[in-house]
Amino acid sequence: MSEILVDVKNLSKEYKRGGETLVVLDNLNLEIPKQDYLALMGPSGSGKSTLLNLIGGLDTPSNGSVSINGERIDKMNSRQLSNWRASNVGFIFQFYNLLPVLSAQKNIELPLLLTKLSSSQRKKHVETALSIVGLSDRASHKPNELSGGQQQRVAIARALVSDPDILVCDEPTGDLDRDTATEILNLLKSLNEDHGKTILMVTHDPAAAESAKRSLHLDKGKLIA
Amino acid sequence: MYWILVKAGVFRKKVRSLLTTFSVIVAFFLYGLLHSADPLFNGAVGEINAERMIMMPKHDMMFGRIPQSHINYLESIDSVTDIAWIDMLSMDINSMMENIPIFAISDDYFEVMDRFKASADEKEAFFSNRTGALVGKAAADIKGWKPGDLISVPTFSAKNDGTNVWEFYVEGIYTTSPAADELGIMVRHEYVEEARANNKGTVSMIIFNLDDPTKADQISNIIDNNFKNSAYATFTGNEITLSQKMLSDIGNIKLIITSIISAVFFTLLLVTANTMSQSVRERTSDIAILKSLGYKDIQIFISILLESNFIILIGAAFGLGFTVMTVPLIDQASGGLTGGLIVFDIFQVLRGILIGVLMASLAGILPAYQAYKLKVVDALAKG
Repeated sequence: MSEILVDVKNLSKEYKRGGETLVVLDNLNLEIPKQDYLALMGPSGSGKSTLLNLIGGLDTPSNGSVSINGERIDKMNSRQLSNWRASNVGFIFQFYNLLPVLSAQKNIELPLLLTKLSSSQRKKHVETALSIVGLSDRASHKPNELSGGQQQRVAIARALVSDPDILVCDEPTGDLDRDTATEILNLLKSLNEDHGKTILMVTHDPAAAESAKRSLHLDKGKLIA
Repeated sequence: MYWILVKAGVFRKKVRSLLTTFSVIVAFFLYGLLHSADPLFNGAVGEINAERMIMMPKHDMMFGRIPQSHINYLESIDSVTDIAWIDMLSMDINSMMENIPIFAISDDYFEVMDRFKASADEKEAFFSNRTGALVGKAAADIKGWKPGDLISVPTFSAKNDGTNVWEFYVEGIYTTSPAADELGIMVRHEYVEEARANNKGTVSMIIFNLDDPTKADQISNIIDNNFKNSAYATFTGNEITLSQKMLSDIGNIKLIITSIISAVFFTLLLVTANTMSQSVRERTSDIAILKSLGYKDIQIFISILLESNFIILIGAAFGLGFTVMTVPLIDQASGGLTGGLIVFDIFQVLRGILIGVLMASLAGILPAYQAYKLKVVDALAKG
């Protein structure tokens, strides 16, 4: 068995809505080994995105622990979580969320601006990321000059550029046509297999889930398979 | 790092940013033009100084008169050293705009008011001719007068012969600072006093020096108290005090201008703050993404404040720049009359920039705080 990268123990997340307590994740346990490619499936409201946000350090749990690479991120404050996210996790969202004014190259460079890398080092990293996603010839294009698939590739390059341990993907093919979705899934698979990236992907799409090494289903805040 | 974030914010909606910047340019241009007249309202312009003392009618400094006998009283004060006087021939404001005002001066006027300059020859010719005149350079430039010319100026001061058009021979040109004071004709008081039908024995103002300038307040009080209950009450002070008092008699122009500028800036503040708030609301997902990438709340806060500063300071730079370019043009268009009175110098530019920074910070602080408090998870859930 590979070394465990993500270790989730007795994780609960509750929200207060008026006088009511809404349990989104209920005492959940999950281990994700390094270089795993895990698809999380389940109906809307099952807690997939909440789990993804907790593992990605975007939210803090009500109870339980989340350890990534041995670090308890549930104990971190907002500032520590920001620092942690900058170097340990890459996010890929359904709607790409690129900054429209910036070129592909500048969008990808955004995470590196938080590091101490020099301009030339940053440029080199960006070129590598662009080459991995096959968009070296689109570096100077702005998001509105790129297709949906190309924009998602730029978003993937942005997630990759700081060389994080884990890529967290929330419906990465949800806004793409079938062919483009397949290209993106192939790219993610290659990142997992060829570049050793651990990937956690939330999806509604069974075809997308099939490209992962394994799938888990969430329902009403509990893992059921 | 911050430049990319600022650029991403400012250029996201180019037209809106451009229009906001344009409104800032207009506001700062207005600020610059109105403040360029500051030296006028501060009184301290050109070679006007705080040592030269002037006695004027207390209640109507522009057109009032005081009896020449006040000079006798001044001569009785030990500290008073040199005395001269000047008398403006009556004109209404409209006549002063169309015609050049005539000032009848005493023989030692140039010694006391040493900021008025004319060559020794010109002064000698002037004092040798009872109907001689020295015209200000600005007046000469406007009217095309030169030495030897016979000039005729209509006034409200009737002459003994019943006419009110005064004629003089130009004997020379005088210069002074501020240049606005060159808009005048100096003639000999001795002649005017003899030739006029009315106001004999009165003058517009009496000018004198003190042996010790530190006594200015004390002597002023003594003089004004002496004439307090007279029909010709006086207001005595140094040249700066007097020029400020004359302006306050016209009206509190500085207060009006300050009120206008304050209203403009307050409106601008609201417009910019609203624009920034709208811009931040539209960029909720962008800000959430930046935070997910590891940008800290405080970095986002600073970037929004910098964005607000960028828009306002660019606008301020252009607005103030236009002012710097425009003030000399106004001066040129006025034939140099505003020289020294309308000035826009580096201190006013720096003050404008400081106001810009303050406004930008005020306009940006609320949107920046909204961005600071934005929760990534909530923002992403809203899409």
